Amino acid sequence: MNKKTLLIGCVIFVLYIIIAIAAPVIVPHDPIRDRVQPHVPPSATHILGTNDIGGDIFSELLIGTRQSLLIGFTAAVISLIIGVLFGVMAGWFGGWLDECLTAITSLCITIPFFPLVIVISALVRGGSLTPAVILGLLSWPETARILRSQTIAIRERQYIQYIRAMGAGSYYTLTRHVLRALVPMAAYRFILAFRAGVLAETTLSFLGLGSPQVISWGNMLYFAQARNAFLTGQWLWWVLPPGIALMGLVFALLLVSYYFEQAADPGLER
Amino acid sequence: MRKKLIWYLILTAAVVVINFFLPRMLPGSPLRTLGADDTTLTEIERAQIYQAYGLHLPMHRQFGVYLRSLFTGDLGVSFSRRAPITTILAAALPWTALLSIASTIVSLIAGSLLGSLSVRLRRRGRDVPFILTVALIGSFPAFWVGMVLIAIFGVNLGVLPIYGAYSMWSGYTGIRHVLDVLAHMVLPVVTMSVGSLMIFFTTMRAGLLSVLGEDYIKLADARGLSRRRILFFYQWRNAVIPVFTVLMMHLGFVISGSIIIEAVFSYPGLGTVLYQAVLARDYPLMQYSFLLIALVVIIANLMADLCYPILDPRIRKT
Repeated sequence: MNKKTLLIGCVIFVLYIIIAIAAPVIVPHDPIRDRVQPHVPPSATHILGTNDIGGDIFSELLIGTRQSLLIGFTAAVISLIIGVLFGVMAGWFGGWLDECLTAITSLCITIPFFPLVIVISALVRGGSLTPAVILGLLSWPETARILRSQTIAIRERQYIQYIRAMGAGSYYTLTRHVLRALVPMAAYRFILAFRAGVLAETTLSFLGLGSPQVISWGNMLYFAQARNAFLTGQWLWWVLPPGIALMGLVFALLLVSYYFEQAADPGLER
Repeated sequence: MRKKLIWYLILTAAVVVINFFLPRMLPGSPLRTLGADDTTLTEIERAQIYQAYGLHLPMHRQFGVYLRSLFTGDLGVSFSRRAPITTILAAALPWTALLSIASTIVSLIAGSLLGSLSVRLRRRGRDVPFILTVALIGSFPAFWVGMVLIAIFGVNLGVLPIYGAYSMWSGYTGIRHVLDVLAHMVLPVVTMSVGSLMIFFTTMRAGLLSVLGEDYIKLADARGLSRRRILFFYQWRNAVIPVFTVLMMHLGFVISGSIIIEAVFSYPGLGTVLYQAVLARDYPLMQYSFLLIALVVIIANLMADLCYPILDPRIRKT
């Protein structure tokens, strides 16, 4: 199952990346400047019709890919950096440092994630990358916890013990051997964080707490909801496409994550 | 056990402190700039706003006022709803609890059954498409599922209510009222369950597979017991523990998730209170509803920790 699902997942994912890069060139209409009659049903010129202010929905859909990928990626990078730092330091050095870091991690895990994201997003208004920073800064604890236990397990392995017995310092052993052994798990956590970031960004934007100045799938759904698109036939081309686009991206990341999950934990059976 | 309780006390204290400092420490925080930002305000109006929030006091006095309000339960008045904050929160909490518990039960049962089914299909090597289908369903964002369900069942078919927790102005009593509330629950509960189905599915499946090689399963097989009997009486009992762990960890997720779902369905729970407080920039109400949500999650975690030894005798010995 794994090789095949990885391939399918990667192909879909690369497709999204290509769309995101090419979006400004391939869009049939400029979604910001081209304004026609609002609420037009799908036609040959507007494949998915137009929205409440006369923008082309299909063009918005293509452009929206950029925001999802950008926020998901940035949030995952921030989350991974903090998670690796906390997890590896706690697991490797142990002692009071471990106890401190583990207490902080447990505290952050217990505070309900999404309500906190909503509260902070309401308090801090910023640019298009603000949601990514908020999501990244709040989503690292699970990664830290898992990497900590993996680091402890690796520290006890024979070859690490030999290397240390031969006089290798902490820094050398950590950077040359321990981090290398952690790569599959870190990759797995990165993809999960990416996926969670994509979902959370859309949800935040849908609630009107994302970046209002950019075009994103969440913002499209926010306006569709605000203009009661589901009371008319409009939901078929205004609400369905962004959701399906998002589902495709999330599903592709899930397929890729299966592969890394098994690489990180070979005993696992799917 | 005592260590656990102390840890939860520290946790509660930390959440209370974080809740106080969050709006005061963040850059561009509205609580700080509430009066100063708006140039149309006169000096007197600004002073009144500061007075109302207690912002004219030094920080440690503000914290004292905050702590006293928590202990007396007098949280002040929400200016967006013109009602005491305590009353608003007390009215909202049961609805969130109802929605969270109902959706957890539904997704627990559905996820566990689907997980078991996938293990049965595995013997015939047909489980991969099955897993992928479940994963596909689980990949939809929950609020979007809610919007689509509203469009299909609420608007196009017109069979289910799409707004609120009960029909207002109907004056239903007794059994009619219960049925009315149940009808209003259907779409939000289904929406929330779709979001959490995957977690229970994956855990149940992993739990069932983890004991496959164990001796007592082999023995049961050798005794000629039916596959179904082995699955439901032998494997299930072991899969229950990880499922329970996930269930309890999940409670925080469910309550978080209910915020978005409640917003979609205008369900009068804590999530809607928090969200509308955010929209109305009613920061005191927002702060206290966040605190309540966090405390509910902490209590759920504590209950989970207390229940483990009952469920898994192996923990009791250590």
